[in-house]
Formats: sequence, C-alpha cells, structure tokens
Amino acid sequence: MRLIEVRGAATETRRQRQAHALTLIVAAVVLLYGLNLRQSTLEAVVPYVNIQAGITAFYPQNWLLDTAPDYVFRVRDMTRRGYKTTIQLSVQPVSDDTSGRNIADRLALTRARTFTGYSVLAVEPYPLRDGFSAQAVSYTYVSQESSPFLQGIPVVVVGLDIITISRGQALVITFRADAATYRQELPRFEQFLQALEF
Amino acid sequence: MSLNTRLLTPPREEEEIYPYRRVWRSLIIENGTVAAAAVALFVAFGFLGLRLPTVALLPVNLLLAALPAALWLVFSWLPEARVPEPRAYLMRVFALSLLVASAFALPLIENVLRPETWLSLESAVNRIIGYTVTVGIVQETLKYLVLRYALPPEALRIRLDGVAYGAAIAVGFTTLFALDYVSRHPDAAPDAVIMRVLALLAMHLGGSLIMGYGVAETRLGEATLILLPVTLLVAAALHGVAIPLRSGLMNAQLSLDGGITRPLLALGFALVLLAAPQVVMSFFYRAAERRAEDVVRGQE
Repeated sequence: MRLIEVRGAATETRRQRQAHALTLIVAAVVLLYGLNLRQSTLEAVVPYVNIQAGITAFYPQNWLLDTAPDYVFRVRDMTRRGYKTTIQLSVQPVSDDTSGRNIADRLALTRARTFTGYSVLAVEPYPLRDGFSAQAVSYTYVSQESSPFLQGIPVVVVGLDIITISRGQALVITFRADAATYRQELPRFEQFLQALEF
Repeated sequence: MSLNTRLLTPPREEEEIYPYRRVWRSLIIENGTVAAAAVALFVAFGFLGLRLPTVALLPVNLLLAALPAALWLVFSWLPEARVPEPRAYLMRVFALSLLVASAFALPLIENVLRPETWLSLESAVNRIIGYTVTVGIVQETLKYLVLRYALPPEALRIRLDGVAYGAAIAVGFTTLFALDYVSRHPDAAPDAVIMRVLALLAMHLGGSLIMGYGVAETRLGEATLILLPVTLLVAAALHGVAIPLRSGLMNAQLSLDGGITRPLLALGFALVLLAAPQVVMSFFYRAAERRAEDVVRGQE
C-alpha cells in the first residue's frame, strides 16, 4: 500500500471550513437537546389524587410513594445515597382559633423529643399562593440509619415545613434533604408546591 | 552468440523506509498491556484472593490510573524521536487534552449534567439517548476542538496521523478520569481500578479513533460536508451505548434470589469495546487510503 501524503497546504479549503462549522453547529444543537432532555426528565412528575383528603399533587417521577396513618402521603428519592430526599404531606384537624404558628410550635415540641439534635432555624411567613398565607418552619436534625447493622454515619438533615390552615384543617407540607444537597433539591419542592391543589 | 547470464539470487531491492511511527503497532502494544494487566489483576484479586495492605492501595491505584499515560509515553511519544518524520504535536495534544478534560469535561459532567441523578431509572433506550446527547457529545466535542485547534493544518500529513493524535487525546482523557476515580475512591481494590481504567480507555479510544478519522478524512480526502458531524455523532453514541451497557452488565440484577455484581461480564465487555472499534476503524482508514491511492493512480 502506498502512503498518500499531503504537504504544503497550510490553509483549509472552503468545504473544510464549512464541515468544521457544521460540526460545531451539530454539537451545539445536540447538546442543547441533551440539556432540554435532562431538564424535562428532572421536572417530570406523576399525579397523585386523594379525594378523601381533597388533595391533588404532582410528585417527581421515579420517587417512591407510600402512605401511612401519620401522613396522607410521602414520596422519597430512593436513588439518593444516604438520606433520601423526602416530600411529605399530612393533614391535622384544627379549631377555628388555631394559627399556623400554634401548629409550628406543637410540631417543634413533638420533634424535639423524637429527632436527635433537633433545632429550629427560622419561622417566617411564606407566600404560598393567592389567598393562602402559610408559615414556613426550617429546622435541622441528625438522622441515623434505623438498622444498626448498616453501620451508617449519621447525616445532618435540613427540613422545611410549610403550614397552612384551610377549612378547619392544617396542612403540613414537609421537605427534608441531606444538608449537603438541600439547596440543590429545594427547587423540586418549590415545583411541587406550585402544582399542589387542596 | 549471446551470453545469457542469470544471477543465482535476484538483485536486492532497496528497502523502502517507512518514515512515520507505526501507530497501530504502538496502540496494540499499549492496549494489550493494559488489557493484560486488567486480566491479571482481576484473576489475582477476584479469584486468587490477593489483598494489599491499606497503605499500599492509594499508590498502587495511582500507578494503575497513570498506566495508559506511561505506556503511551514509552511506546508512542518516545519512538517519535527515532523516526525521520516525527509527529511534532503529540505532547501538545496530550497535555491539552488533560487540561481540557480537567477544566471542562469533568466539571460539566460531574457538576452540571450529573447523568446519574436523572438517567439511572430511565429505560435502556432513554439511557442510551441521554448519555449520547450529554456525556458523549460533551466529551467528543471537546476532543474534536482539541484536534481542530491544537493542530495546525499541516500537522495532518497522512490519515494515520488522525489515529496518532486521536490516541493521544484518548489517553489524556482516560488518565484524567481515572485519576478522578482514584481520588474519589482511594481505597478501591486495584482490580476495580484497573477495570475502570480499561473501560475508560476503551470508550475514549474508540471515540477518538472515530473522531480522528473524521478530522483526517476532512483534511486529506474529498469528504462530504456531513462526514465530520456524522463521526462526531457516532463517537458520542459510542459513549451513549457503552456506559449503560457496561453498568447493566456489571451491576447486580434485582431478584428474589439476591444478586451479586458480575465483573467478569464487565471485563469481557471492556475488552471487546477496546478491540472492536480499532478493528473497524483500521478497516475504514485502510479503505480511505486505498481510495486515495486509486485517485493518485488515475491521475498518473
């Protein structure tokens, strides 16, 4: 086989320049498509309807849903290592003179007894949506693996409770995540709140 | 009367000197050594139960991560000095690929794209597409940019220059990603590290050979406009297919009987992934050379 060698042509032809330009355009378009695909997958949601509690929610796709007597429903991101990012929704009957602050204080008292290192960071008003005022309670605690055989290292968890009262019911919407990923995960909770109907 | 003389031996033809380093030979030696090291460590640690003291793990793992680069230096870069027509920009391309992988590819993949957070539970097809249009396209575009802008046009003289420079970029990317893996898992077993190195080398080399073909053919041949974008997409798709397939083969399957990882399948897959693109691309390079040869013959 002979060796085909090209020498001396230090400049590119027009076709070569066009090919390079086209390659950059294709790369940019494909990357944009990839970013769009990523965003749409991350924001993909699954509907959850509970007629009895009067709640319609859209929780992140692929999160694990479970229900229990303590809450209406809970979804967790089981792909997370360590603490599973959680969104939980519970409903409590309240009297007419109960305020969101009362519920927040009661929750703080209960949790201080059950959570290790529970500490309230802030209690502040939260603009939930038109016509609904809410209290936002941010807190932190230390979570340990329930099974001692897993020998997991305790994780610092940051939580956020959004408490609102509607038609004699207090709605407590809870978001909890590993402190290291809390900020990163918070937009998913805000997306959940925006789509929540009750 | 004519004297009919015949020589007992035919006259010796002057041997034609090949002026370039033979890149396929270098590649076979380098990749064969990495593959042999992977198989040897897999047998030693996986089957014979060899264990290293904890203090030795990090140095050994660092050496394994740097193995492709060391082999490339010995079998590709150093021999260039001994040939009449050396490839002068190999070290520049290698160093630049390390920097580009460190400054752009790794941060983009680990901090921005983070495919494991949104692709791990998707279907196989979605994962292939997802990895292709994110991880694959980012890495191959960066490699293409290195090939395009680190090399002056006259640096590509023969098509196999695309292989040589592509391999240099692949080794740069592999080394950086392998070092990143070791930095995050300093106590990993050496057989796991070498398997990761082998898989990285296979993916990056395959992609780089395809990309190098596109760049060389565009520069030296009569390639159509779409050849270069197509090679970019094919190279990206190689990552898109290889990443989920490897993890699917290696990871334990969820079943009621329990599951264990299957490193033997992953090793086999990495070996095939290392060899197959080289065989296929050598065919493409040879076919392109033949076409060019026919054109030259026709002109003569």
